Amino acid sequence: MAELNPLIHQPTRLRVMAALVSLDEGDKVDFTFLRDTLDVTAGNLSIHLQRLEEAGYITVEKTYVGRRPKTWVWATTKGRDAFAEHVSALEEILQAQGT
Amino acid sequence: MDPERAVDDLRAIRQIMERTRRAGDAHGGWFMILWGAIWFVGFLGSQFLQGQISGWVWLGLDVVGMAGSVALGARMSHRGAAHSPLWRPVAYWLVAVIGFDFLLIWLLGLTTVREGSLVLLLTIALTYFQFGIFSTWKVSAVGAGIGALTVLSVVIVPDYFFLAMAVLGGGLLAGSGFWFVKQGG
Repeated sequence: MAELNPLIHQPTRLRVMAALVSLDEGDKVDFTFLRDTLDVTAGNLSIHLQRLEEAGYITVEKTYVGRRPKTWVWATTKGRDAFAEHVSALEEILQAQGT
Repeated sequence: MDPERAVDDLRAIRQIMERTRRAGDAHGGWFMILWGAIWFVGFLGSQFLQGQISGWVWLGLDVVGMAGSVALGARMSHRGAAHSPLWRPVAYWLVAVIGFDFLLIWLLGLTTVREGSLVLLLTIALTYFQFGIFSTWKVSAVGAGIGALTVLSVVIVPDYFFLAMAVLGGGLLAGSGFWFVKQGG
């Protein structure tokens, strides 16, 4: 039986992981793209990305394009697995309720 | 956990995943709009201008198209688009395929503009179709549409082949591009 993941359970982190997992493996997104897609503030997003990175669910890479700083984010295999298990747990809750 | 919360979470997951995918598709849409417009002008030139003048028009349009594609890519990068490791090999592959086409045209002695255009158009259609296999079926559908229009135009209206490709081919490409952008917006 799959278990809910308390880290991913938080609404913003759930949406971050959903966005990153929807990309093909090896694809990455820019911080700004993620912020705009999720419609969250940069500060709020940074905090949640840090938590996910500490858990090893995502990788955050800071680079420069010319003189502009650019932050790339992508889901790790561990993060994809954790997210898949969390989704399975949600589906099992509904199945148990017969929804 | 409250089942209603589980329903909400699953709905939020589906919405975000769909939104992210559509945003990625929208970026490809701008390239299609650019090249659809170039096809429209270029093939109109092929239909109504003399061969040599038309060739120069195409040369100019190709330069504009390549410069525009690079500018669009840079703009999207600065705006924070999704980045796929596939793009670089796809770009190299496209250059190799177009080079192969010109070699084929030269070796087979295809001298008319229509013969050369057919080789290029069918290759572009195949390239879209193949790229769609690795990204989204919608791109494959555009490739299949371009291929079908090319064959139908040259068979049914050979005298107006370029006009058909300007209006229908360019229209299909630009129209698909607008659709991708609208979906992603």
